[in-house]
This record gives sequence, C-alpha cells and structure tokens, in this order.
Amino acid sequence: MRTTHLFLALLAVPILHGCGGSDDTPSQAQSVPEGTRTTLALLETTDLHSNVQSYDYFKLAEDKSIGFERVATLIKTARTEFPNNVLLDNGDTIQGTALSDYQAQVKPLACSETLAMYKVMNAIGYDGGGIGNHEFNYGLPYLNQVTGSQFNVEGVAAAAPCAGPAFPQVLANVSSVKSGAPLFAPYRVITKTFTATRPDGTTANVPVKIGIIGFTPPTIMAWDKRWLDGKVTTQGLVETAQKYVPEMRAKGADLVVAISHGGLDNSTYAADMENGNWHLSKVAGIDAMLIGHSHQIFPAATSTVPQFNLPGVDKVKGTVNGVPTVMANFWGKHLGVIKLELAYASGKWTVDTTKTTVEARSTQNADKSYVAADPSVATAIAAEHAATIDYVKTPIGSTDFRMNTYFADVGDVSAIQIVNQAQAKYVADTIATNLPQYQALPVLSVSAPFKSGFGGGNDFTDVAQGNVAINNAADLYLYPNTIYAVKVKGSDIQAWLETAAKRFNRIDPAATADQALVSSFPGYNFDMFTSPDLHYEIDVTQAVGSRIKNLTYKGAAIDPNADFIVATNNYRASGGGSFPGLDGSKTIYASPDANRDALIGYIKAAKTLSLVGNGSARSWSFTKVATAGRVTFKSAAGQLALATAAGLANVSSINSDDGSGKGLADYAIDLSR
Amino acid sequence: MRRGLAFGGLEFAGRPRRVPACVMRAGEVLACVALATALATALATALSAGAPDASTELASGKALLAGAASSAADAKAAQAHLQRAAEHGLPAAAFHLGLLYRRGAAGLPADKTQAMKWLRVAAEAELPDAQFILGQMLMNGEAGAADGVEARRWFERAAEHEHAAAHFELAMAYRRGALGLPPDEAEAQRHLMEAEHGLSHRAPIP
Repeated sequence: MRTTHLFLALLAVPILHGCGGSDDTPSQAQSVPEGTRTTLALLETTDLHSNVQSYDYFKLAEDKSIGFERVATLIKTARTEFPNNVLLDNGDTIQGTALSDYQAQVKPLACSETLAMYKVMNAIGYDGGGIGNHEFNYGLPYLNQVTGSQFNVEGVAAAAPCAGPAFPQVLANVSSVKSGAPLFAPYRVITKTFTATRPDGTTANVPVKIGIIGFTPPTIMAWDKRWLDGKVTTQGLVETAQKYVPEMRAKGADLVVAISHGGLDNSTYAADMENGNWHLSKVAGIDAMLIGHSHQIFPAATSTVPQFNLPGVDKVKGTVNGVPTVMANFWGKHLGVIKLELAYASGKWTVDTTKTTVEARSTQNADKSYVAADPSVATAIAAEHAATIDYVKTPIGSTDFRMNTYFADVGDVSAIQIVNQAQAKYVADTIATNLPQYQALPVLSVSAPFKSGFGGGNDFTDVAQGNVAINNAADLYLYPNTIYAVKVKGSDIQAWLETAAKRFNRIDPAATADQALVSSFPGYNFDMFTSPDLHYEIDVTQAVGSRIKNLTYKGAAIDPNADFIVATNNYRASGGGSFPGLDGSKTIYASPDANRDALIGYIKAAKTLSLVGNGSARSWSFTKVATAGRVTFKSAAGQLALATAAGLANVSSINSDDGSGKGLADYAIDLSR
Repeated sequence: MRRGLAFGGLEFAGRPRRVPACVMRAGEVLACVALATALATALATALSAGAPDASTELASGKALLAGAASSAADAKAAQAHLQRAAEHGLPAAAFHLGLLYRRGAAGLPADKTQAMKWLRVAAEAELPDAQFILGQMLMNGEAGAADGVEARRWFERAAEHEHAAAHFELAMAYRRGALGLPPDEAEAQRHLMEAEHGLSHRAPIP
C-alpha cells in the first residue's frame, strides 16, 4: 500500500537519523549516477468541500459535474500515465455539504471514526495535504479531532489523537497563541522512491525528497473570528516561507512544493492579504505551487480572470513569476497536474525547467459527458451517505395545507408567508439581541415566488400537506441566499413595490382580445409582503411606477418618512434587481445564515403549520377593474382547485394544455371580482 | 479572490493603516463597530492635523452619507468630499459618489449619467460592488439604452471576485437565457454554487 510505504518512510526518519524530517540514505544517493533522469507528476485536488459523491443532498439527486468519486478516476488515470507521482490536497476539504454538516453537527463523529472525506482520501492514498480557510468553520476542537491532531491551543483539551487522515497535513502560517508554535506541522520532507533512467539507459529506483509546506489565507481571523480570536495568530506567506524553505532545503528536500490555499494578487504585499501567492512565488527555493481557494482553473489559455492576467503570470504555460503553478477548480471538478523532469547532477536533483508542463484536467469530457465515477468511493461511504439522506428527509414539522406557488402571481401566499415569517422572526431576534438601536422599528419581510413556472409545469414550489422535511425547505426557498436586513422609509417601501409590480403587463380594460397578465419580469424579483399590518393594491391598468395604490400600515396610509426594517436576502439588499435605493447602503445587518436555514429553524420551532396562521395573510390584491376581454396567465395544468382553496374565486381555467409542451395551461383572472 | 479589499485596505494620512474588516457574523456586529470607531478616530486625527488628504476626504464623505437623504447640507458636503477623494484616485470614493448620484439625496436630484460615470471608474479599479451595480444600471438601461451584454461582462468581472450577488445574477441569466446567454442549466447551477461559496467569506463594503 502506498500509504503504508509512506508512513514507514516517515516513521523511519527520527529512528535512523534523528534529524527531524530528513531520511537521507547516503548509499542510495551515492549510487545515483550523474545524468540520471526521472519524470514525476504533482497531482492536486483543491476545494473539495466534502463533495465525496456526485450528489446534491438538497435536491436528493445525482450531479455528475461534481464529486471526489469522479476526480478519483482522473487520479487513477494520471497515476497510470505518471507512475512517479505525488498526490496532494490544497484544503477546504472537510466542509461544504449536508454530509459535512451531518458529521460535524447533527451526529458528531466519534473519536474512533474517520471523516467520510478523509476516509476516501486515505483509500486512494494521498501523500500530503494543506489546510484551507473552511477547515476552521466548525471550530478548533473539531478540526483537532478530525485531523487526528494534538493541538496545543486554548480550548482544546490534551488527549490521544483521534482517527484522521493517513497522510501528513502541513500549515506554516497559523500559530497557537498558547504555545507560540505552528498549529500543524509547518512542512514535511517526504521521501518517494521513483523509477529513473540512468545515462546508460537502464532503469533504477531512486529516492527523491519532496518538501511540502502549507499556507492558508490570514483572513481566517476575520472569517472565523468566533473560533479563532485570541487562540491562534496568522503570519504572512512571504516571511513564513522565507523562514522555512531554507530549513526544508537544509533537511535535504530535493523539491519544495508550496500547498497554498489562496489565489494571486499583485497589489502591495501585506502579511494579512488573502491571496498572497503572486508574492509567494518570488520567495527563493519554491519549485512549484499548488493553489486554490478562488475556485478557478489555472492554467487556462483563454481565462479572463483578473488574477491570471497579472504581470508575471503565464496563463498558457501555468507559471507565476516562472514558478509552475496549478489551481484545480473546486468540488472535484478538476485535477491539477504538474509534470517535472529531474536530472541528477553534482550530487543533487535539478528540475529541467524546459520539460515542465502544467495542466488542470476536467472530469468533463469534450462531448460534455463526465468521466465515470470510481465505484469504490461510494462504497466506502455508503453508510454516511445514506445517513445524510435520512437526515435531509427527516421531518422537521408538519403542515395542514399544501404550500405551493401555482397561483402566487395572482395572490396565493401559501408558500410565501412562511418564508416571510421566518425572515422577520430571524431579524427581529437579531435586533433584540444585538442591535438595540433598531428595537423601536417595525420589522417587515419580503419574499418572492422563486419557482413560478418559467421552466414549465414542474417549476413551481409544491410541498404536500403532512410532514415537512429539510429537503422541502429547499423547495420553499430555492436559492442559497443569506438573510439581510435593510432600514428603509415608507416611501422606499412604495418604490420597492412599484418595482416588484413590473411583474405584470399593463392591462387595457377596453381591449376585447385576451391580454397576458404576467410580463417577462422575473418571478424572483416579484417581492411581496405577507403581513396583516401592511396592505396594498396593484393596479395593473396603470403604467409601471404608478401601480401601487392604498398602501397602508396598521390601517392608515403609510408615512413616507417613517422608518421600517425589512428582512430580505443578500441579492436584493446588495442591489440585485435594481430596486430604488437598495444598493448596499441601507443594509443594517448581513447575516451569515442562509434564508433557507432560518426557514428550517422557524419550522422546527413552530412544529405545526396551519393555513390560518402561516399561509393566508395576503397583503396585496389587484385593484378591481372590469375588463372587456379576458386577462390570462399560465400555471401548471389541472391545479384550479388550489386557487379555489386559496380563496381566489376570480380564477378560472381556460384549457388544460397551452400547447407549449411544458406542462403549462392557460387560466383567466376576473379583475372585477 | 478580492484584491486588496479583504481588510478594507483603508489608508490614512499617507501611511497604510489597516482597519478591521466589517465582516458581520451572528453576534459579531462588534467588528463593524470597531471599523466605525477606527474611521471616526482616523477622521478626528486627520481633522485636527488640518490637512485632509484623499483618504480623509473619503472617510468624511462616507460619514456624511447617513444624513444625506434628509439634509441638503450633508448631501452637498458628502458629494464634495467624495468627489475630491475620487479625483485623487480612491476607487471607494468613486463607488460611493456613484451610488449617491444614482440614489439622489436632499437637494441633490439623482443623475444617472454621473452615477454611471463614477461607478465605471470604481468598476475599472476592480471594486466588485461597483462592478455589480454598474451591471445593474446597464441591464436596466438606467442611463440610456439597456445593454445586457455589457452588463453581463461586469457581472462576470464581479463574479471573478467571488461577488455572490453577481454570481446569482449570472445564474438567473443562464437559467432564463438572458443577457445574451443561451439557456444553460449546468452553468446556472455552477453560478449558484459559486454564489453560495462567495457568501461564506464576504468582503466588507468598500
């Protein structure tokens, strides 16, 4: 086994020589004749984010574009091509899916168990790994446990190491405040036995010492402040490398490979910069860089990504200031491959830089299909995968009504109100706890029907009466947004609704021909309130900008100068959809939590949802107007009963198939009723 | 990646001085309070020195923005400070000036042409928030004819800085076949993934 071999080599180091990290064997080294050559490949995975299988846990469906099980196939292919290889991971490995949340938070991993992600990495045999910023997301005790470490840091009790990766992990620029020493081993020098060709054409096995050193973005101190503040410090990439690379060389490293979780940035160097690898490349003695974090592909000849179009960056060859560099995308979509040819001269290995090649290999084939999954990966984590699916399907509450968006465009709020309630409660709770200066202001919420038929009759939210599970919450809140709260005036609310009302075409009451009610304005921008305190009409006979009528708050016309807090999402608060005045400047709170997670929390707390309490608070209606012709809209076929159940007595069915072939039918709405 | 923005990168009185990021997590509004305090301190220091430079102009202009909607004096002063800072090459000042022109303020009618001019300055300097808002203006034709293709290019540039809302915009465009793109559900999914990831480590407002 590769892993075993590596481990024996590592264990042998101090026993044989006791000189920390080097296991030079002079007899072997001296037996390598001058002019001997060997070719090796450095293989990189990065930003796997716990995507072991090609699977989307929220959709409960396969997603072939992602997953370690497919990059595993690329690894095996590359190993056939390059028998001399070093497989390294760049970090952001243990966080990012429902699987990782399950193992970290829902049913925390036992000390004796290996994390699913590391389990499959151990099976394929990695030579080493770095640590990304997301490794810190679940806190230091968890990181200590799952990496099988023994951190000497505040908050982590001394104990025997737990199960973890069977390969060394390196991180040079994060130190424990308590010990002053690096949290992980800053670097390792590992000895690989490679096949080489002697000048006489015969082959030989030769030892090559690969030094690996790891870096993470110093900005973890801001991102994971709650876990890290006062416990660890970070150091800049350049000064850290300047300290350790000469040590690695002194310990016999023939090659020094930087595993640096970060991208490229040529702005003035700072020790706290997020993407310090452009500067790192200039530190003497680094032979190759495996980078990541940006979720990009490098090299890529046609890349327009700014960081790959900097001076000194060769996006065709894959070099940064002459140092071969690879970034292998994310979620197991790519494998980074740096091929190096070494020549043995004057008693040491030297890279023949004219032979170096760098590439990022995709799991997607030229014909858009994907390479086959390595079946051993799914087998290895079958139990964890099944448990995660069970967790996602676990009921978190129940509903006495069918929550759907089939008629959201004409007033049904059965799938909207619950989202608004969850958002408003989340923001109100946050204000009560952390933002007392806003405590006197009313908290409202807006949401929109994200699934409103654009993709056809199946593109609607539809949660059946009965149990509600986590995957249903993903149907109720489709997108991975986070909660934002904005402070606005009554006049801003009016303007907000005017923009949302672009959802409708202007209706001519005198026209006798059918008129389509819904415009091309996207459903995800049709923001609506569902509060008993707020009421308004949408007059679709008026031009855009003059449609909101009788906007009242607690029974009186809204005060244009009154302040309100509105719960929404990051996209809207940051200026998405061009809603007047919403450009980031009105944001009073940018939550780290997803709207979907707030919804899950709300349903868990409420336990039972009712139509009366959670699905029928219509804040808006159409201004009544008699039309000479029909006003029509589309929804899924055969759902009229749901409109009736929602109290929309003015909706009628025109046909059961609109002829689009997309499962849609035509309906009419009588605006006079 | 976010070039030079991770910690605000605000510079005062000609020497680099980094202030804590306004990265807000649950229960951690204190980081933002720290930022505001640092700004106020820097402002006071600079004012007492009597020689405001571009960074001080930016800080002064930003501090006045809160009152700009109701006070014509604040609006005018904010505009003047931001303009001086922007003309001295501070992209963050160009960004806030652009937003001020786009929103309008007391005694300062919205001017979408000026807004786009200054947002473009900030966007060219790789401020992802500016790139995103400029894209919004182009997509909606706020200062002339809508230009979905140019809007998309700015969203793509902002997305390269992991701007979550820009990724979301691109996801929707791929889903709907908008902004000159063919419908491509795989690309839409990819951008949604990127949006989610971008939200896990956000840059503060410049």
